Amino acid sequence: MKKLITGVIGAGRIGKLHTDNLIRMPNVDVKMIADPYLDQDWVASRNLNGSLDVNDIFNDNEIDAVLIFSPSALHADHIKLAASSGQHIFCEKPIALDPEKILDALAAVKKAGVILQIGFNRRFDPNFAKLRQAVATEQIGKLHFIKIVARDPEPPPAEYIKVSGGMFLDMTIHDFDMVRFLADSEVDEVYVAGRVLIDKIFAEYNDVDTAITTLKLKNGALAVIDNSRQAVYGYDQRVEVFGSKGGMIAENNTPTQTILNCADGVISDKPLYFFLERYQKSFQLEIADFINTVLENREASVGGIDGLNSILIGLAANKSLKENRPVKIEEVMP
Amino acid sequence: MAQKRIITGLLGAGRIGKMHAENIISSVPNAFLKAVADPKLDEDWAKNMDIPVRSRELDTLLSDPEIEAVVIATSSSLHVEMIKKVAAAGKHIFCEKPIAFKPELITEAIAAVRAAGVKLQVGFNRRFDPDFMKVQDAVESGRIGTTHIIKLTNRDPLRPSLDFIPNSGGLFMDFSIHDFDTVRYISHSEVEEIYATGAVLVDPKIGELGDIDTAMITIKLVNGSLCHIDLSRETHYGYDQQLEVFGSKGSVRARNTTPTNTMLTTANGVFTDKPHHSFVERYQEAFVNEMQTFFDCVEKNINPPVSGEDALAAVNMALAAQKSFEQNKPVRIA
Repeated sequence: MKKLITGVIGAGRIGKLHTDNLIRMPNVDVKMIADPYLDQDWVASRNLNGSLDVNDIFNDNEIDAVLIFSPSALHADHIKLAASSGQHIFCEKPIALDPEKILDALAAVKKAGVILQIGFNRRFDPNFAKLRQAVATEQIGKLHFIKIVARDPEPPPAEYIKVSGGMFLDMTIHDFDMVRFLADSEVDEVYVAGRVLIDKIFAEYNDVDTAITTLKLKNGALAVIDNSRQAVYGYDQRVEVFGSKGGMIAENNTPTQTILNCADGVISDKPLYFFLERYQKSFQLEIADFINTVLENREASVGGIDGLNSILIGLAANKSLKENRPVKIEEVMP
Repeated sequence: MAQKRIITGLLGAGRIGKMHAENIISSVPNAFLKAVADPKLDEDWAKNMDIPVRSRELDTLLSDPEIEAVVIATSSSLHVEMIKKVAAAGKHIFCEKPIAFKPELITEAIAAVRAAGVKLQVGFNRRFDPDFMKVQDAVESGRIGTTHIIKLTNRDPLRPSLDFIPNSGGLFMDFSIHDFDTVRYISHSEVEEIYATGAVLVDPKIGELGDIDTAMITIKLVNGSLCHIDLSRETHYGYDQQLEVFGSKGSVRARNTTPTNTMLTTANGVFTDKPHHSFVERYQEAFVNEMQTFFDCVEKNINPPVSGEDALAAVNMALAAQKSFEQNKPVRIA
């Protein structure tokens, strides 16, 4: 079997998760993992070759593909370095929060002629992939609505809120991509109603913790996303598509499917607690898709344009929140 | 001792009028439907229902001193005139929604009711739906904490006949008026601002008649919470009526009710019932409950829970939604 020789950059929580998935794949060789704060015990436990210098990966001619799980602020630079080394790239979202920086990174990718896939993992979630099928095959007819519920179980720490870019660029960005994925259409206009209802700390950083975002799509359909930074019952991730012939709903996944009947009522499991549990399958599938894309030299299923356009929707959402009006995407185009 | 029965007249015996009559006769023990008046009275139906006085003249009811209460289910455009006449005759009033599309006319009707010292209940039946009542109770009792997000889905099974569209008042006034009332009922809050976006996606002929058939409405409430309503004139799978309230301590959902709760499992999949087909079936209990409540209020001499002011507030929301849609900007409620 032909093996893809890879290097992993960044061994934080998400980097470790992806690496564990990579080492289980028969057609992948993880040649090196680099992180200035590398957890050496973990590297040893996985029998990996570690480095504290990311350049060791970019300078290794044998490494065909680089998977970037470094802090978001470094993504664009790491993409450019990998591209200039002729290495194919998988990069976690977001590429950058500044569209100019994204365009700069994408130009480097294009120039190098390498493959770039962005980590919008939810596209690979079996529930949402099935919704996409229902839309694509017109099982539900022509698409009229997309409705997304995306609520976190707990708010992030203050130091994270400060650098997150705000709810729309940090959290809703996944939902913006989901809308584009399900509809296979670009977004024309965004309107946000947002408030601070959970913790005043969000207001200190000019952020919100609760929002309802309405989107008008170029294909005529409408979409709504409701976000909360704290659903005390777990990670609430539901999507509905509705069209001229009917609709399809993806409900929450739960640890078990049991139902307890007792004097207090009928009780079923709460949703899986957070994204690591909920989207476990999608993380495996997106990486497998990337590996196969490189091995078969296909076009990436989630490309740079997806990374860029979701950010543009997020920027339009920020503007809408600030100015309390619907904002066209073209208003925030770089 | 025989129960006191409130002697009642019905004005207007079209589809809704007949339904109310049948509910009073079969399910409201403290009411007696003595008379019905409708210029196009279905005599066979009235005879069959054993309604003693059957007339084509509305005045027959007004001049009958025995009649204490009148149910108004005439065509909408006559509601204000009927309220004024019935109030002047000193009779209590149940009036179908809408009282009128114009706030001034509703104010006039309220003034007439107040001057006559009679009771007025408006037909926002959904306040009496057991599912919605339970949701309201979960909110009011504090079980889900402070309300953050209220979400309503209101979708008709099949678009109305095109003859209906021009005089309907439009999607917001005719259709989402119920949702506007539900938002106020659930939240116990007035509305600060409305943003509405809509489209013609079901049938272009609805667009040719100057209306829309699909919409999304975002509402900011005075009490801080956010609200979203999605509307469609046509589902093909039944009457989709769902409500979810999300708060600091959890959420509560009212899902669709179905004719049966059976589940069929075959090689083709798992099949459950579609939602009830129309409002008559879906809100059957609500229609009975609202009538029972009205007669209880008359009997006990207490104010009905759905007032003329509630009708006015809902109409003001519909007007704001229409304006928001036309101008594509959020509109504050005066």
